[in-house]
Amino acid sequence: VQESPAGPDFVAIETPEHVTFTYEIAGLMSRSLAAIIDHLIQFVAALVLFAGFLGAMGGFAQGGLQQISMAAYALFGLAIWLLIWGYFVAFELLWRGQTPGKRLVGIRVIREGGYGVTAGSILIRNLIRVFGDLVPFPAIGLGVMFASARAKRLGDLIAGTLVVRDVAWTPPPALRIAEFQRVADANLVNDLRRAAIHRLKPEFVRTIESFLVRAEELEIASRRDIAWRLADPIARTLGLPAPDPERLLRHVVVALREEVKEA
Amino acid sequence: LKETRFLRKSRADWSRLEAFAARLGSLDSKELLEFISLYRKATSDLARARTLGARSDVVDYLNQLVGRIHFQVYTTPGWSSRRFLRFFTHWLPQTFRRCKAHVIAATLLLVLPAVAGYIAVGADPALIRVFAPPQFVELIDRYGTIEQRGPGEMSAYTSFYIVNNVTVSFLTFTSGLLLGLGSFYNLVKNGAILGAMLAAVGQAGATRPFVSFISAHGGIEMFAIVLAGAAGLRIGTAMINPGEVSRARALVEAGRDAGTIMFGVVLMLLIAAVVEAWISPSPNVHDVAKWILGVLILSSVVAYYTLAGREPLTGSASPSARDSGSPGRAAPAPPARR
Repeated sequence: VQESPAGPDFVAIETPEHVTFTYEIAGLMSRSLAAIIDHLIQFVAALVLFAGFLGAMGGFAQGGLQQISMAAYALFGLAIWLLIWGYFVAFELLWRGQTPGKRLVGIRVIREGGYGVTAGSILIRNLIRVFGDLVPFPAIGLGVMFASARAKRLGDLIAGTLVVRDVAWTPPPALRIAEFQRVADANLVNDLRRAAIHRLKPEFVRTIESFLVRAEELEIASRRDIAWRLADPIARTLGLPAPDPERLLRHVVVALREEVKEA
Repeated sequence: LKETRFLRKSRADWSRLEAFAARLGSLDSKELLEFISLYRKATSDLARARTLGARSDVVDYLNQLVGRIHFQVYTTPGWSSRRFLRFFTHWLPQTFRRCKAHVIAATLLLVLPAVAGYIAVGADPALIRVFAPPQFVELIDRYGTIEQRGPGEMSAYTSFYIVNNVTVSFLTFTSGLLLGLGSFYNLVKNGAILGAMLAAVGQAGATRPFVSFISAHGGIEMFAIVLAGAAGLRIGTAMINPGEVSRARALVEAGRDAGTIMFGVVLMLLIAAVVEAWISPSPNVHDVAKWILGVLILSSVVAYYTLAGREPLTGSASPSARDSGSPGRAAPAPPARR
């Protein structure tokens, strides 16, 4: 594991296939949000347990079942205690590093090196939860998270774990060039090619492609704004009018494709 | 624009890979082979996309794809009865012996203050108020009282002992994070209370019922607290003196030992709680039987920790290599069974 070139919020991992990939480290805010959700769930579960316990006790007491109501009391105490201490351990074991809160927020606990968590590392990081997160030490817990390079809790440091973003993405779509070609204005394409459009920097072309792929998902205002920013330098350099910047961008891609075909 | 063709060709493969990954546990051997070759292809696609300087959304997508599947492929094997057994037959007692020095230190930190407390209160009975909290002192007359309890009451006591003692052991352990000082303090405090109480109970003339009451469960319970303290000291000493590895690395190694020991501690306290609630206060069990039971329990636990798992492990990887977090040393585990 090394510091990633992508920045301090990423951690780079080299696979045995000698390919490096990066995980985005979960920030303080998303981790806190996940913790709040989890604690809310614990709280609601405790309320439900308590209501059930009161109901049962009332019933048993009326029936004169002293011993059974004592046993119910024992079970209730144990259940609450398991809820406090076992909730995180149980979920992180069963869901391989996720709790309901973490799943909702889209983060996951992994071990350094990108490996799945082990039972021992889960136990350690959650045992230390009392120390870092609860009274009288929340300041220590937060302080360690701020000081540590990867927003690690004390428990993470000792368990050798870190919390990363874990959201499944859909494969990025390919550019629908065929569609653009069908409706392209041949004159504009020719103008662009005559103006040596192939000299555009490759990074710039890729940005245009990225934009066109995602244009449908963008909000109207930002879509228009980005299109204008990308199209304006081209239009000005080539001395072409650009009443519809996105249309110009589509033609740029089509023109480039035809250049490639003829080359 | 080469990339558009690359994308069109590869997208089907990536989707197929994702579909396989979603049901990794139930792949047959043919599908597993295809899954592996698809994963290899995705990693090389990532490398290629990066060197070609492909569209950033493509690189990001491949990055998260490889990351998610790497996590699934290079994980520790799931629960198997074999691994579970091996934890108890080898891993736990071996870890105990690796932390021998800490266990000895923790034992002394409990026993020496106990002796001191016993002697001090023996010399001056008024000192009991210094050593033990008032609610303990007020109960001295009632210690060791034997009463007939119903099963419901006994379950209530079991539950209380589990909750109370396991929480105490957790605090004894985690307070070791203060450079070991918290564990140090908790061990000394508990030892001093124990010694002082023994002396005070003797002065009240209740030694025999008191000792009979604590004999069955007290040994394993105290040993568990000693081990929790030893786990805390293990972390504390790794913080102070990491040795030849980096401090972060030393902490992780200490954490692994401490976590293993704490598994044992919780189990010991579960046994102790059942004995303490059902046998210790029972008028139906003779005092001598309680003494013998206490000696048997403690000596078999000590024998287990010192003797079990001395023969080397048979099998491919030792748990230490398997559980190590360093990418260089860890043996790639087979694909996870979910």
